[in-house]
Amino acid sequence: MIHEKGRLAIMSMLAASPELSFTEMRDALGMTDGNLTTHIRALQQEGYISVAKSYQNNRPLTTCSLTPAGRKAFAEYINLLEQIVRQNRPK
Amino acid sequence: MNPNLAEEHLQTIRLLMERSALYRRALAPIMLTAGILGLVAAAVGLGFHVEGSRAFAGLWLGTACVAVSSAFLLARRQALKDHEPFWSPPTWRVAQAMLPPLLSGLFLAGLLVLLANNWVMNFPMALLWIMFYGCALHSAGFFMTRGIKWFGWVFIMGAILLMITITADPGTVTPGTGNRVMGLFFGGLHLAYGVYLYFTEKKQPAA
Repeated sequence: MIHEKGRLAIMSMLAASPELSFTEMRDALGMTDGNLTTHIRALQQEGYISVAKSYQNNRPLTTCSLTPAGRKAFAEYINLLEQIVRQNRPK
Repeated sequence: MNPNLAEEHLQTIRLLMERSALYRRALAPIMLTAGILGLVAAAVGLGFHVEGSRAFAGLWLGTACVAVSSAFLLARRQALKDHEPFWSPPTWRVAQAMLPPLLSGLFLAGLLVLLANNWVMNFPMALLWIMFYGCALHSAGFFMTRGIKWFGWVFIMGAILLMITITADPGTVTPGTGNRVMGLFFGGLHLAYGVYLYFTEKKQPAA
């Protein structure tokens, strides 16, 4: 689930911040609204991220954050990548 | 998975994590403090007729030093409260982004002061500072919340508009114009943005 480029990018950004708004992620990743929505929905269905909808200055604000399950899955994925790199490093 | 691909993925993750770590300290108290200091400095400048370009530069550079020190103290207090290091990666990036335009403004103002110790230099010096400060805010905006970039543009466009207006009618520049302009931009704008942030800024932890 996480290894897909777009979803990995979203997970990486959320891993470094307590929460990020939809627009912050869209601008940073250069994704279209539709593309980002699709990835967010997929990650949300998997239980990796939580989405909160609120209002700021009378404008709708969508923010995303990693769930504990998402944080765990992300950490496991990083460990896996590090393991692969370590195993193939010349001794 | 191919080890090269794994390494590439790790590199991408590292880059994205760094990019998303935005500077999120509450800016309202910093802006309010800067605004009040700016207005006080303008009042001092106008009240005591600080009009020679050296005295003008001294007054405003001194105010800038106090404002920067206060901003550091306020940010440090927030960092301590959140049990985080003051020099977090986002703080470091914001400082690095702001430094070149601020140093350039300082250098050019120094040149103007050396040219002549006359009140005529105050207005161009104020415009230079406003523009370079706007550039510094805009650069910092890449590592902060979106509003800072717009705030930077307000300074830049304001200085350009003022320059056009004054060029059309140079007779409007008086010995007190420099202090008035500095008070309006560094006092008024900071204060207005501080009040806006005070009511709208989302209270959230993490730098």
